[in-house]
Amino acid sequence: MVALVSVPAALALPVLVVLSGPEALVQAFALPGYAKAAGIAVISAGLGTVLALVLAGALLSGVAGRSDRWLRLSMPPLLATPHAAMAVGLAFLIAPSGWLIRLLSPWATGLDRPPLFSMVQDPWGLSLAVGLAIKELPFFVLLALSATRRDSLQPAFRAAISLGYDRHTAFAKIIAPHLLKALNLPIVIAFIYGISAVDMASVLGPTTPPPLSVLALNQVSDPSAEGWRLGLALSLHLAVLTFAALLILGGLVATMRAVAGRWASNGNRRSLVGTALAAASLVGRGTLVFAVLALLSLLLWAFAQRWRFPAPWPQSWTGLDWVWARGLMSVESLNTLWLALASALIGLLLALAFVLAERQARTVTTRGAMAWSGLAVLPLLIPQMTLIPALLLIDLNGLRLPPWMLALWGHVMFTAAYGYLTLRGPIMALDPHYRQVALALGRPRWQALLLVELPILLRPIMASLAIGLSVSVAAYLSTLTLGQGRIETFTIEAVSAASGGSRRTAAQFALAQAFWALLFFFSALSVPDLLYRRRRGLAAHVA
Amino acid sequence: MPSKQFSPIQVAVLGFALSLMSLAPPASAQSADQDWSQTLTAAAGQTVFFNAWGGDERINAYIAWAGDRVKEDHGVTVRHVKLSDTAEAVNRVRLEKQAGKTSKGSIDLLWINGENFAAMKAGELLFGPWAEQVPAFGKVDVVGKPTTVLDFQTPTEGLEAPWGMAQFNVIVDDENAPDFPTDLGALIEWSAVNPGRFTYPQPPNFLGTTFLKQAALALSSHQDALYEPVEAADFERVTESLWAFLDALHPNLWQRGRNFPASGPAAQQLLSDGETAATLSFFPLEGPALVTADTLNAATVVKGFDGGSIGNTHFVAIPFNSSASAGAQVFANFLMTPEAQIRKQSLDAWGDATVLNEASLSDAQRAALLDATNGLSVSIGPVLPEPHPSWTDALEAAWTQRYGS
Repeated sequence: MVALVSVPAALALPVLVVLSGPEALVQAFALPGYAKAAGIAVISAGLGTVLALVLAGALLSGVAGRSDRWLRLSMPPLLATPHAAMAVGLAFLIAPSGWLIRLLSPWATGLDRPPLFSMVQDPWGLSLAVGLAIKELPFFVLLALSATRRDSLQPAFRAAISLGYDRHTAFAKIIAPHLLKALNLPIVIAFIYGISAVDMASVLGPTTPPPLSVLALNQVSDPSAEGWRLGLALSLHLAVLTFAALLILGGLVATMRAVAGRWASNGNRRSLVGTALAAASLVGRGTLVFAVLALLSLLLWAFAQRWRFPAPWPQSWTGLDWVWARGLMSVESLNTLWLALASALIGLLLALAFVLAERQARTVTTRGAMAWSGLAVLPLLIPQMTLIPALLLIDLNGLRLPPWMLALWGHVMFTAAYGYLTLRGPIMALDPHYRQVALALGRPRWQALLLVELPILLRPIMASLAIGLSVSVAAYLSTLTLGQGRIETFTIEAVSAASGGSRRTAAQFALAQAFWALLFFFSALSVPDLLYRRRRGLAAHVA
Repeated sequence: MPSKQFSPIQVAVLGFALSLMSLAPPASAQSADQDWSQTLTAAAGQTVFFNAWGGDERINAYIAWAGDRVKEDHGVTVRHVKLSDTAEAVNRVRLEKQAGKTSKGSIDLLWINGENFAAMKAGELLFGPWAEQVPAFGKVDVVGKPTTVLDFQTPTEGLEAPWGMAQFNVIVDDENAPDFPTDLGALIEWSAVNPGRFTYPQPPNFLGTTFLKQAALALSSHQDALYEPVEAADFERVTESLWAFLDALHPNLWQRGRNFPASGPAAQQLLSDGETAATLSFFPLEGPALVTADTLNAATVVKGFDGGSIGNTHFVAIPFNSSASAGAQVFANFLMTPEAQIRKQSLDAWGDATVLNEASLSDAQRAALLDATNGLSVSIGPVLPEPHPSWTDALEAAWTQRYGS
């Protein structure tokens, strides 16, 4: 894992410093709009992450101690929809000529042409923040659901309710601190993704200037050698800015935690925070409805031929031939499949081995734990735009792997990192007695692991596999650049279609992409249900 | 970077490339024929990775058709690598060169022009010259269409083969904007009456940059300076009228000129949604073709600009380290044949104007070419040549400084 994932990622930054050169690194500061672009990047990513976190907390506090089935089931479609597709859907929903205004026009608004007022692409990236929050929400909710299910938390929560705490205050005081701790790394990753990814920013973000990530991408796309070096320099700036923002964020969280600790033990049964959470829980449900509407409008577009303002529904429809043309048996489909299956499986094995090694090492200090985690998720800590060209360069200068192998490697870096992220919690939390009993009964170490522990862990393992699969399905830069254009997948098609601006084509490919991601998701999640039909008790021991 | 020994294969490929270079110009027709038959032999069985922008379904379908045809005729397999931005491929070739990968490169043929070509030529990233030695080049109209050998004022020198002709124009929704002006100066007044109904893709997108060039040519009293290197000109004086025009225009553009669409297709989506009433295009037949495809309103018209519209040519080029340069030449040659060019100009296929000299075609071919466009003309008034390429960067930088930050 270290050799395949951490070392190449660690090499990326120095390689790029050499490549862009000190001159370009300084020149980048002088680019017009630089400061504002950096500001927009931090604001949209920061606000998006905080918003997603608050809404996720509010949704969870609404279902704490109750049935969370509807929440559990509504998350995978949102998680499986690619960022770019979600952005296109959201933009279409709230644009001046968008679906919401169409549904109200002209009978309620009196408009027969789109209004001039616009909610998308506001100058400070607020609509971008909302878009990011909608995509990060399911990620937080799913990870948090497994964290809140821990045996020790539920009795404490019930006890608090019976002591007269209202449910939202009880959630904030008892479950939320554990949640924040469990979500530490996911928060960092969501923030980094938000600040560095361009697929959402280029649709929902402002353009004069754009967020720093888009500015860097535009500059990297400059065909002249100097322009290109300036682009690499900008992406390094982005990496530095990200680390700086994270340090500040870390400091804020530490302060908040100290304050919150005193607040949690003040004994008040009702609180402003509780009321706010109750309100946010309504907003959270509203946000989910909003996201579903965006997906629905995307679905309509996939089948629409002409759909002009103010028609509430498409005026003419396309045939279904595209379903077969981009079909389930096309090259794109097969490539998507093998890459996803291979990279998710390899990534899972690497992550599993790494987490088990970490458990074996029995690190007790926080610093030690952070070192382990940092190594595993290093590829996620560096903006992709910076990481991917550096990997290609490393390969060209030494390994010269065939494109399929290089692309697979690129995918594995991400699936392994996400695999670690999803597996670490459940494995560390697993009751050591199971293993001890097995060892005491004379079973060798490997049997204790294979026959006792892994079956208990099957559910989180399959969930981790599902996330790995959807990460691979959605990977764009690593497929195009590392595959050197030779591996066509649905995501490559979807992004190049989106660059053509055709909402219909983008929607069609997004559906094909989401189809595989969802299929993987539900089949991976249903495996434990099928295998453990007669052993329901197992499920209670781990999330 | 470690220095590298050349492998025997690399030496062979290098030798082959050098031998091709030394062949220009061909000594006689006979040896040219012989060379071509050698190229055909070498090409059979090769797979050509054609890296080309993949944002337009109709163009993708056309490329797929052309690939099937060369497979049939010459046993060359073409794989279309769909790019979202051509520069990604240019930078990949540069990375390969920096790393000393002089053969078995990842790209065999590239759809290219303007800035990207100038950068690749300057960086010695191209294979050739080859383009003027392939047989189909003979019918290209290098006299009547000088941009087929002069790409944004950069001589092509046989390093790229012309594929299609472009001329700047505006697609207008005649129902919502019957009075859209073709005189750029009058656009300020029109926008004041119709606020929010026009915009242009944000420079450095090539359509947006061309809008700046078109306006500079139309409004400046120092036109000649635009055809000389920018360093030789008084930039402020030449562009003064352009900025005055944009300052007056922007407050009445779409979203008050605070945001601009990212690309031509994104601007087209705004027209199709009805947010704007006109959009810029580089293909005079694009408007009619989009009506045929039922994407735009039936009442759509295409207009050129008063005093002429900027015109240029788009090309295909072979990177220096292509692993299938023979196959790439065979495919590029097919793209220039009358059969491929007539189909490309057809409204049902793509609607992209031919690079060929129509006088060199047979009567039947000429009739087919006219038929392909339903009799519509591919010309929309006089062609203005592209300004000197150094103006591209200068105008883009000045625009971003003023409006993009």
